[in-house]
Amino acid sequence: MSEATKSIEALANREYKHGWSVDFEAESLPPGLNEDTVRFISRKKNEPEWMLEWRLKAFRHWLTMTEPKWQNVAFPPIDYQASSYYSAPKSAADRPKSLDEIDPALLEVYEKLGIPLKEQEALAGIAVDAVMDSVSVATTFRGKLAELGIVFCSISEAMREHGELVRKYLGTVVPYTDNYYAALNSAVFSDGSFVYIPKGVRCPMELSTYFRINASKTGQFERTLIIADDDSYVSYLEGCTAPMRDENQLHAAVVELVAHDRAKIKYSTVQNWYPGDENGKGGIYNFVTKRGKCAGKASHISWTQVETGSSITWKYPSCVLLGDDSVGEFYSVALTAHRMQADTGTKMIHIGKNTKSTIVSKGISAGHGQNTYRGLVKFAKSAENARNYSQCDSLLIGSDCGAHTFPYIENQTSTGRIEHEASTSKIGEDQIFYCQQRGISAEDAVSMIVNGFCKEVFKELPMEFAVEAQKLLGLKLEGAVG
Amino acid sequence: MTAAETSLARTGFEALWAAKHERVRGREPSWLLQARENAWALFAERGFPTRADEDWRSTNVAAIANTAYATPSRSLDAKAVQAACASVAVPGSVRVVLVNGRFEPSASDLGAPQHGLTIESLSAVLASGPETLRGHLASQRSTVNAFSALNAALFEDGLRLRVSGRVAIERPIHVIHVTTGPGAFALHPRLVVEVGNGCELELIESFVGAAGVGTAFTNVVQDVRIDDAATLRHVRIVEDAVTAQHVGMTRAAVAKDGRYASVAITRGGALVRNDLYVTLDAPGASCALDGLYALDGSQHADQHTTIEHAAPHCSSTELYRGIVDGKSRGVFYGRIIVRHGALKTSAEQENNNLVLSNEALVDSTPQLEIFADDVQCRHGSTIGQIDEAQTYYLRSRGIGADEARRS
Repeated sequence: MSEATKSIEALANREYKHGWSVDFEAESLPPGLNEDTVRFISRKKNEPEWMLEWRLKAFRHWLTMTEPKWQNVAFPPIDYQASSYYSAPKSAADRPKSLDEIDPALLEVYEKLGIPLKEQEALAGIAVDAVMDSVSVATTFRGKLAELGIVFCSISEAMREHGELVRKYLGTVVPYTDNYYAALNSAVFSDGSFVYIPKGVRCPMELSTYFRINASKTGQFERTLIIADDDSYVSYLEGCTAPMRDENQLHAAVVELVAHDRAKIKYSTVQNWYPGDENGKGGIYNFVTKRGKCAGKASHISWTQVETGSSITWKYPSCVLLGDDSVGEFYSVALTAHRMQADTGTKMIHIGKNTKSTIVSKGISAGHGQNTYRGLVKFAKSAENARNYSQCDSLLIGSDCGAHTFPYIENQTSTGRIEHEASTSKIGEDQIFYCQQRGISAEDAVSMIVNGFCKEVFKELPMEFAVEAQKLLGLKLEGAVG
Repeated sequence: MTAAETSLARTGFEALWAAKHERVRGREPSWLLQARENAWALFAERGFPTRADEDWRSTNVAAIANTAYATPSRSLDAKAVQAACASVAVPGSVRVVLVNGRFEPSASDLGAPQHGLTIESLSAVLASGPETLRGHLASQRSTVNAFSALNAALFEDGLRLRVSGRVAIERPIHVIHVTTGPGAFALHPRLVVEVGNGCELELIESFVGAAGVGTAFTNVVQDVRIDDAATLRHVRIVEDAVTAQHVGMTRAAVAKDGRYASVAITRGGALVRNDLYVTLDAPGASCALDGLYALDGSQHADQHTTIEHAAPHCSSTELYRGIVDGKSRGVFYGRIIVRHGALKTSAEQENNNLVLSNEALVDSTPQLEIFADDVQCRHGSTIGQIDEAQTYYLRSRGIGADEARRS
């Protein structure tokens, strides 16, 4: 290093130490990431001291880490200093005033999905005073839930009102040391959901972020924590089939689930973020860490995901099967079209005795899409009589796409049984011909075949979601077959 | 492992390389010296792989990296070698014996010359007409990891088998690799196999340790070329001594309508790693890879296979089965790549494992990488144990527990 650069660097460092400070009254932060950013976010959210300490520890750890490189997706390097890590929700004045200001292409999609007009406005981020009464709907639901002792609120609110619970569980499933993006999320997460189901309670309705008032602006670093106490049940829906307007490119969310004795958590995701244009320009990077801990005896965690958006999807919803007789499930449909890339799958870590896991993954690649299933099934020594069944099927549409399967299977027991199957093929021309013969257009035929291919996963989704997901797939594949 | 530690671990081989370099400089053609130097540079740069390398995540080679190996002894204990060969003899075959990686005419039995078949020691070819080996040795096609680079830099001898003139060789060629002598020593034999247009050959290889052998580290590389409509059946049996370390790299290229059928059996050795990389280069090429590993004690065997479908209308099947007992660890890694444009590909892969003890371990990693749409690919993998109902059935019919387990 030359003398000149050295002194410049020294100067820069000195300036950083003394000069820069954060205006805690500001509504948003200038681009950049340092400890003051973390302090600012924590202060803005009125967080307790221990939370700030935790965030700072995570941030310091993040600094020591390097970005992972093993994934089967390619993207230009991300400049973490170039984005802003906090901005208050947009005021009504900044938002589009009516649907006339929204991209017609987006409206067309809403139309095809059959979304009611008022809902379209909400999704597009339009400032409407009474958005289909969502506020009142949400309030009614929350009242009902509160009667049963269920806590369902934003994680910031939970930190203030149920501090002990959050402190007890936050980071116990995905510690901040877990991976690069989890560490970053732990340091700067903006908001997310918190759910606590008390002992013996069966949550009477499907919980969805959709009904949470501030859910639309949870931001790019979302953090979700769901705890199901003994003998409880909850089904949680994340996301929405309609494409969402979003300005953030990197989404690094963390989802933690804890299931106690005999509790069951069902977590369903439908993801349809902006995938970029046909040439792969723009689009969301969806780098998410999702993990559930079956902590109690005979506990049960089930992940279902339908991934149809984002230019890059890179996530592995996982289950740690700690309690004896616990069950983990993973059902996934991942679709990549145009230049989308997906590297997704699951990890099933069997630790308790008689633990069972099922993996069903369906990948669909079209256009130049690259679809990867990557998964780990591990039986630790203690996992006597553990059982796993995995099935990963890929469907290829077009000669320029790719489908890849990387399952890792590790067994340290002599009593465990593992079965893994994978297949890759294209849609049979004979099948399409058969449909066409009977007056079904090639496009509808493909849609039917694809939906049949995905049936095993769709049947795990809550009813309304399943219907929407089917329509969505058909829509996404439009034009994939000439 | 830090860079300093890695370089420390290499020192044993550095001395061997310096001696080798001195010995071959001026005696071997310059292209070969260049190839050796390049390979050494590659090895020096990478060092031995660690478990941080994805390809080596299940296999720790510290035992090899931390051993100071000598060059193998040249003195021949003829009796011990004879006994070792007799233990694996295949009746009716042409017997070619390599002792510590060198062709040993006195132990071999080549029989009457067979039309179209040439069997030569690599050192003899290098001495008489090295140019004919240039295609294999200068291209470095088989130099894909630290071990194959080490072999390319240090190899002394080995064999070249050639079949030409559209003939089917009737008698199988049985190549017996015997290791003998005390202490820790390393050998880097190299095999070049060329099966010409329309020819057929059966090659059986046995790797055995003579009685009283020390810690032998066999680092073998095999270049296999199968021409149009040719067939090679290749059986490879690792029955090394329980102290042995064995690393093998087989690189096979199959041309139009050619077929490569491989059977890889691993029973011996303390640490075994076999890489098998098959490229199906032209339409109609096919391969069948079968394998069996039966392990006990503290054995570790890692089977790595890659099948690359580089052209349309090729097919491959693969079946590997493993039985692990004691504290042994079996690793299967099977990769199938279908390149862009390799349409009408058919690829099937299966790996089944039987775990017999509580301390044995199995890793199975079947992988599919597919860049074309008109393909039929499938893989399956299972890990399980002997079914109690089955043993009960046999025992209820008067068959003892031990015997039931075996049958």
